[in-house]
Amino acid sequence: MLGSAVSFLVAALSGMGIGSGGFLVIWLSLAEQMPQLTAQGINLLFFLFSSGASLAVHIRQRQLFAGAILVMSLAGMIASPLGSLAAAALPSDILRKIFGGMLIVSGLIALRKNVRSRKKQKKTAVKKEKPLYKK
Amino acid sequence: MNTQNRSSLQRLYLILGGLTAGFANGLLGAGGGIIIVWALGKALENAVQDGKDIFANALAVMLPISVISTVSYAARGSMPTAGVLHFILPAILGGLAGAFLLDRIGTGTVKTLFSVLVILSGILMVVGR
Repeated sequence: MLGSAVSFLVAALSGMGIGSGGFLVIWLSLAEQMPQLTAQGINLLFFLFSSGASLAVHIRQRQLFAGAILVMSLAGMIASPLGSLAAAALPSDILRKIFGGMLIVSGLIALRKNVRSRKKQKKTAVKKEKPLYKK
Repeated sequence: MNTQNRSSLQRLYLILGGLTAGFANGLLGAGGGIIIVWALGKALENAVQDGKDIFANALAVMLPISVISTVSYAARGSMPTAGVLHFILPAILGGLAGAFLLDRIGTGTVKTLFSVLVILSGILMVVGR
C-alpha cells in the first residue's frame, strides 16, 4: 500500500516538472531492501508509464521540437545499452554509492537553480512595486 | 556568433546531452532527466517561449531512451515480473495528475523541499551499508 502511495507521489512530482530524482529507487532500495539493480529496473518500468501518461497531456498543451527530440533521443538510445552493461558489471553496493552521488549532485544543482530563480522573481517583484516617478 | 556556428553548438549540446543522459539512464535507471533539461535549455534558449515546454520536450526525449534501458535490464534478468503492478497503476494516475497540476500550482517551495530530500537520500545511500 505504502509502495503504491510512493509510486503515485513520485509520478505526480515528475509530471509537475519537479523530477522524481530516482526517489522510487531510494524507496525500493532503502525501505523495501531490494537489490540496487532490481530497484533501478523497476524504476525504469515505472518511468515508462508515468512519463507516458504525463506526455499524453503535455503533447496537446506544450510546444514540442521534433528535430531536437529526435537527435537527442537517438544519441541517448545508442549510449543507454552501454550504461546498462556497466551497471550489470558493477557490484550492487558500488552501484548504490554511484547512484547516491548522482542524487547529491542533481539535488544540489536543482536547489541552486531554484534558489536563483526565486531570488530573480523577488527582484522583479520589488522593481515592479517601485514607482518610476516621484509625485 | 554567426548562425552556422550557433546551429553547430546547438547540435553539440543535443548530441552530447543525449549521449550522457542515455549512459546515465542505462547505468542508474534514472538521472538522465536533469542532463537533458539542461542541454535542451541551452540548445533551445532562443526558440522556447515557456520554460515548461523544455520539461515536456525532456520527457519526450527520455521516453525512448528508457524503453531501450528497460529492454536491456529485462534481457539481463534485472526486471522482476512479479509485484510490479502495484507500482504501475499509481504511476499512470500520478503522471496524469502531475501533468494536470503543472500549470495550476506553484512549485517553487515543493521543488526546494524535494531537492533537500533528494540530497539527504543521496547521502544516506553513499554512507549506508
